Amino acid sequence: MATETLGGRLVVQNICVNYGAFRALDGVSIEVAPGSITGVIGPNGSGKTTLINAITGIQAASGTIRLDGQVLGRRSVPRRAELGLARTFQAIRLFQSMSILDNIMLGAHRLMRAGLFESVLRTPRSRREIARRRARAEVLMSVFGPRLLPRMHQLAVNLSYANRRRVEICRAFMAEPLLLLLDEPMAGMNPFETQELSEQLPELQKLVPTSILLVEHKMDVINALCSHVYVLDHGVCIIEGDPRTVQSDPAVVEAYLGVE
Amino acid sequence: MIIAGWVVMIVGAVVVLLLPQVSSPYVLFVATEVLLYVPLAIGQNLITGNTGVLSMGHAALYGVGAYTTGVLVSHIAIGVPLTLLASAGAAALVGLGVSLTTQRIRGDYLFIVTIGLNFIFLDVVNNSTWSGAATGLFAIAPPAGGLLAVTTPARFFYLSLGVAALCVLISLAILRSRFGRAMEAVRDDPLVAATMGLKEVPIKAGIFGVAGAMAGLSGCVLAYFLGSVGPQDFNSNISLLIFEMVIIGGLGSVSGSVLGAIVLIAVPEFLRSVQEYSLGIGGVLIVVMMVLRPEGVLGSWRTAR
Ligand SMILES: Nc1ncnc2c1ncn2[C@@H]1O[C@H](COP(=O)(O)OP(=O)(O)OP(=O)(O)O)[C@@H](O)[C@H]1O
Ligand SMILES: [Mg+2]
Repeated sequence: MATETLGGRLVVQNICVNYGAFRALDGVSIEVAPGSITGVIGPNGSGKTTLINAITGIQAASGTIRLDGQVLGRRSVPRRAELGLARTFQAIRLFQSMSILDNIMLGAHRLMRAGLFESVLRTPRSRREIARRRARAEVLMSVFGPRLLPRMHQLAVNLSYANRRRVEICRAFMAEPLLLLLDEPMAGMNPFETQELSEQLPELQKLVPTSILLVEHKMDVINALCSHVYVLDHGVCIIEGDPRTVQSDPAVVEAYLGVE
Repeated sequence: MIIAGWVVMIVGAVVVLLLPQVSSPYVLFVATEVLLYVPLAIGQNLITGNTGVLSMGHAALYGVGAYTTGVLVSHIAIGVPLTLLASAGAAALVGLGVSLTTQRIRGDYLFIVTIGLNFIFLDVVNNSTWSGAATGLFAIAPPAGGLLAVTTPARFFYLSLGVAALCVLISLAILRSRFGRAMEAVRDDPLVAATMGLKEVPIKAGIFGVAGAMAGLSGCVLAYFLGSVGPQDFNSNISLLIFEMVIIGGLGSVSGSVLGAIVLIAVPEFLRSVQEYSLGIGGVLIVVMMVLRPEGVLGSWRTAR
């Protein structure tokens, strides 16, 4: 399962994003090392979500983005997913009409080998494949203890906020991505749930080896999980480094003034 | 409960299979008409209910199927199985083409554009010689003694039943596979679906192709059933009727499609005095449903937003 030559290196060089006349990202360069959890912090409106949108291809950007040496260039959103990008959304986006399990299973779409006819005819091979993925989904859900497993056939819309987040996170891990982009996964969670999730994320990462780009507001989460962090402010990366050094930097304190 | 369900299904199947033996010719005629609409409603439901595409041009696909059979039969000696295949193929191609050419148009806009599809189709058949222009094509009959030779009302009934059953099975098989979830993912949130690697354009085109093939099969049987095809059988009212079947029966539900076809074809037929009003009855039903049960009688997809 684990990739022998650890993949999932993201190199973003000098990317710019404009919304009309407004420049949301202005020459940002970041790097995510294989298997790492790399943080991105910054005040509201500093361009963190825009960065994730640019990497996943949702937002057009200039500059270069490479995943394991491959230039993503003009590749479409689904093509990038096939290459091994997965993400969660700041405002949770689950498939409303589907159960928790169906939501999570869809995450594995890029890995499924049985084609249309095999799936529709339910050949033994396609059934085995589904069973295998389903077992995998249950393993991922079990990381959250009894929170998702007993409810997996319920509609995702009926879940609590924190549980919907957990479903979204499971769905993203199901893709076994090279790089996972998490957009404020702890937002809206209480301190206890936040603490739990910062222990569960490395557990999930152990099950599914992947690099993670973690956008987060909560400093203690960044401290606990990240070895390296970038600070965005007004679309510019003002500093990078290990979380503790970065936090004591005067520019960071200033950018966060009144926020933290 | 499960046993009761099976009993109902078996009894239902026996009744349907024996219908030609026990019913009056008129009832058999109406039943055949209902069955002709089942593949249409099922296809429309795959497009609109499961994939979330507001398309209002289904009669054009139906018409392509019927005219394909009409033109083939008037030019060459060809049996029923081949015309079924040809009609399904032609309508599938048109469905694919419609989906691909309108891929950038969404929601209500697509609804309006696909209304235009009905008029384009009518303009083409009304102004072409191969289609018999406004009078249409006549004397469409299968070769005597050929395979599936549809010559008696009972045989028409069984052929329509076979086609409808095939479409039900195909639709159920698609919806139960992971591609059923993929369609629904594209319907629920196309952007999120894309971040999972689901490609909206080929998924929608594929569904239009499948629904087109189903409509083509119905069109083929209709051409034999009426013995003729004409522009009046495929106007926008027919598209609206098919659309209503899906809304009433239930978006996203195969059994709902069947129910919708029964309600909007059989009920007005048996209430002869109101037959002229079947579109209007559908409209009233929709208004009532939207208030009482917006997901349709047997619908599963409830817009929770
Ligand atoms: N689609 C858009 N059109 C125009 N402006 C946008 C758009 N999306 C974001 N912006 C603007 O770009 C800037 C960066 O937004 P972005 O969402 O990337 O910030 P963020 O760092 O994720 O903030 P938050 O912490 O609030 O999530 C903001 O000023 C925002 O108002
Ligand atoms: Mg954001």
